[in-house]
Amino acid sequence: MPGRLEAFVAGDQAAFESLFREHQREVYGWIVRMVRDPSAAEDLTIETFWRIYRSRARFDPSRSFGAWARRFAVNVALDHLKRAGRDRARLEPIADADGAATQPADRDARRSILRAFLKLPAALRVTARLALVEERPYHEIGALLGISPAAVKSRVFRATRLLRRDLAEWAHDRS
Amino acid sequence: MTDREWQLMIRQAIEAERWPELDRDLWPRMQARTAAARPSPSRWDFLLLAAIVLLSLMFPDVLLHLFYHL
Repeated sequence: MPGRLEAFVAGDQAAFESLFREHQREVYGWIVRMVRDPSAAEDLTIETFWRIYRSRARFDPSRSFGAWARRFAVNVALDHLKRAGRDRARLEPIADADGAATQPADRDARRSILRAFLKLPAALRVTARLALVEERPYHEIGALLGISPAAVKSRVFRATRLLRRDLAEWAHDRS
Repeated sequence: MTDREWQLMIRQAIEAERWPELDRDLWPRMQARTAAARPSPSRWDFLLLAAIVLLSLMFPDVLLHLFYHL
């Protein structure tokens, strides 16, 4: 009797539904952090799973479904960010996780950093997020984005340089 | 500031944001998407079918020849 992943590859709807229900929150979580728009993130979650469903014949059931889904999610989010452009990116930071406990100076610092981060071009922003925030290895990011580890390194370098340039004055005051 | 300090600062700023969790099941929307994408017969398919039926009624021998060769 085939497992759930084998059944999914064979086109079994029940297997797809089971995988969808298990992974939808995780995929939504990845996407909303990249696109910063909960409403768009729902649509993009559907789009991610739609691409996954259409590409099911290429999936190797011996590999992780989550890792495979992540690759689709990153690219769907990136496509959306490129289409939307930086003008439509949500620039105002949302509620901090530690809320009122945060000092106003720290909140201002975070906002400055976030604004600078959101000004980065979409491809640099997504790469920088995966490398600097999630600390994923370059070869893994390369596999997710379909680029070489050297290209990942170059994007991270460019993103860091742009962020430093944008935040130079603020960092100078701070030090 | 060192690269590591920059990285930590960026990480803290981004991780401090709290995004809402998905609070509903998206499966019904996913199901509608897959159902809408299933290929449905076009009017050309129906026209072709009608032409075959019409030809087989007008020239029944053609069908016999066709089955013989199949």
